[in-house]
Amino acid sequence: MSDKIKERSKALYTQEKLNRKFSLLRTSLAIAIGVLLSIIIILVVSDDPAASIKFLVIGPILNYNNFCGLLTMWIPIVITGLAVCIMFSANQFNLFGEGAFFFGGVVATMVALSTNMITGIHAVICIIAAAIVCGLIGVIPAVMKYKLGASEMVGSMLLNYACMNLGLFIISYFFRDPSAGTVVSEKIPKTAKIPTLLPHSDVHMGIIVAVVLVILAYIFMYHTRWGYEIRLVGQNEKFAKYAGVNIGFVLIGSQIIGGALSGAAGAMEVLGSYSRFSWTTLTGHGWDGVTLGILANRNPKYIPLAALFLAYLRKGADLMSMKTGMQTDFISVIQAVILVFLLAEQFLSKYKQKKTDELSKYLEIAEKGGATIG
Amino acid sequence: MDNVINSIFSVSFMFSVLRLTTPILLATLSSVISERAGIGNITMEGTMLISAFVGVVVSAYTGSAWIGFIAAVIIGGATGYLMSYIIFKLKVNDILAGIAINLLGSGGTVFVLYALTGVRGISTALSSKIMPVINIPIIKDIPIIGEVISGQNIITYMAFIAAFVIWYLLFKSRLGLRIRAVGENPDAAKSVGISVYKTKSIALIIAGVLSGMGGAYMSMGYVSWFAKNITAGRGWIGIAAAAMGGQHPIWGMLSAVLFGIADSVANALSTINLPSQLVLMIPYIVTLIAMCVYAYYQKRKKVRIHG
Repeated sequence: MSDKIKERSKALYTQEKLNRKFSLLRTSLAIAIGVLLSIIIILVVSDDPAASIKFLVIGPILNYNNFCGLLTMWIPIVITGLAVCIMFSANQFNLFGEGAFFFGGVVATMVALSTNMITGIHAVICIIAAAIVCGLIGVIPAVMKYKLGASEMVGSMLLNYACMNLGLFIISYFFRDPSAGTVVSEKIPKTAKIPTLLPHSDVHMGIIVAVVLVILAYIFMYHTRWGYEIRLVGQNEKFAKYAGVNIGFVLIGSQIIGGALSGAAGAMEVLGSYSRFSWTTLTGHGWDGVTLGILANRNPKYIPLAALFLAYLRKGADLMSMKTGMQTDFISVIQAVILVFLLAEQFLSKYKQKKTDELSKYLEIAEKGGATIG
Repeated sequence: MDNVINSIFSVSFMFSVLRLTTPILLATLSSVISERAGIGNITMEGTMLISAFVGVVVSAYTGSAWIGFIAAVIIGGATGYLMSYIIFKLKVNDILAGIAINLLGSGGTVFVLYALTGVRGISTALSSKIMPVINIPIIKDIPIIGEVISGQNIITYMAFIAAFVIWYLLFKSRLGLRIRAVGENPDAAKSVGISVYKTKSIALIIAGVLSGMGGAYMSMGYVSWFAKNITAGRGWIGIAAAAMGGQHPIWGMLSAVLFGIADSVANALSTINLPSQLVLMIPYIVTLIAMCVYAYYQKRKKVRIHG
């Protein structure tokens, strides 16, 4: 009897292993297709394809400066990626990350310019203020969905545009530097800047915060009760309800965390990499977060790697556009293609079926013969 | 303030309501037909961008507004088909597929524009055409009404006619019955021999065509160029309008007009010294509030029925 249970648990284990192997294969293939497509686009469009491809593929690791640029791009998208992980895990397609990132930058600029504090604390206060404000705004679509049943996705998109305009209003009417030619804020005081970490680069202390947040988010999602409840609600809301989970708390809470993280990411970006607030439109970091959340299969553990990939692609594209004049926006096309292949259940499903069949046959033989599975 | 009130009750204000309603209405109808077929389709924003772009490019290269418009509509339908392929053949969740298509629309258009013209973000380098304005005989001579209704862009008339066509299609035609059947109960539809995949694909293609018309209007009627993110969230406002209209084409049309009014009020307010950014917020905030109010009444209605 106990042997049979052992057998079965082993079989389960192997099936799980197969699934994991399969999802790894699918992810790598989706990425490979994306990279291949980028190369094809470059070959078609670029005047100097060899140089373009060179900069895209090895540009970010060509020298110290480029590598630092890569890390600087990595910081904000890791955090927006985590935000999306948490919100999408609860099955809430809240797309407020985009607006929260922008508005977080605005709030940080406001606080930085209107208060005086000592170095260090000043920046921390700015970031916390941004997180609180954006977390609270993130409540709006969450409550709309939970209390009224209105689509959180449509609500959050409308909120993005509203927040963008509100932010531009605040900057241009209260914090604008009149001596500057374009609409930018006054210079952010030195005390509020996030200190740089690596010499002669833009890589700021935010990178440490990002790493810590990844660890915290992972522990939160997989080793705490709240994280478990978020995932449970995401997988089966009815079941979670009967199991006694406070659905409203989980749904709204996850979106507060999402908004707050995105806002903090925007604040850190402005205080770490800019001397003034100079955004004139939404930045796309929220959408990157969505790509990463899906790429990482909603697991915070994989966000750093996924973000490294996307930042690498972006930095490579940036270098390429600087050196050879190739436009960088095609990265969104690549993002879209990668997403589709990643999410396509049908993609490689025949191969998976074949492997599963082989496995089950093998297990059958093993059970009949009483042989142990290695 | 008097100025504002005067400008709101003016003929040109009513005229601009119809003008601003057009893209929202087409997105609304696109959402209505998708929802009726049981698909969570959020690709309006991306499809409109792609079509707006293709319309401008094709009309510039062929020198004909009509060929540009037809190309925009065809590419809209093709995007609808792409969506159906992704969600039914590749089996991707419809919302996530929509996110991917919207990404494709926002980044892809800017990229191809640059590859074609070498200019970032705006198509002024292309001498594209705009769709004709129609002066309706007889009606144009009626005071006030004539001034409001006549002299609009031809796509505006198409949009309002489309609302009735979609109503007829959904509620009076065989295809509409099938679309509603697969939307409400795909298994039952299948059991009486309706191909669920085919029907849903047709619905998505029609939705794409409608969004495509909306996109063409943005770049070949509302303005005469393509710019990065030219739709500015109108696709999303359309989705909200469709929800408020209870996924009914005619009620959806009325909600779209409501958002058209909000847009026009914003335009009228920008003539006085209000900050433009605050004025630009109005349509989104109005839509958000309207969504909440509508959802609240829907919920109360449900409670009354069940309890």
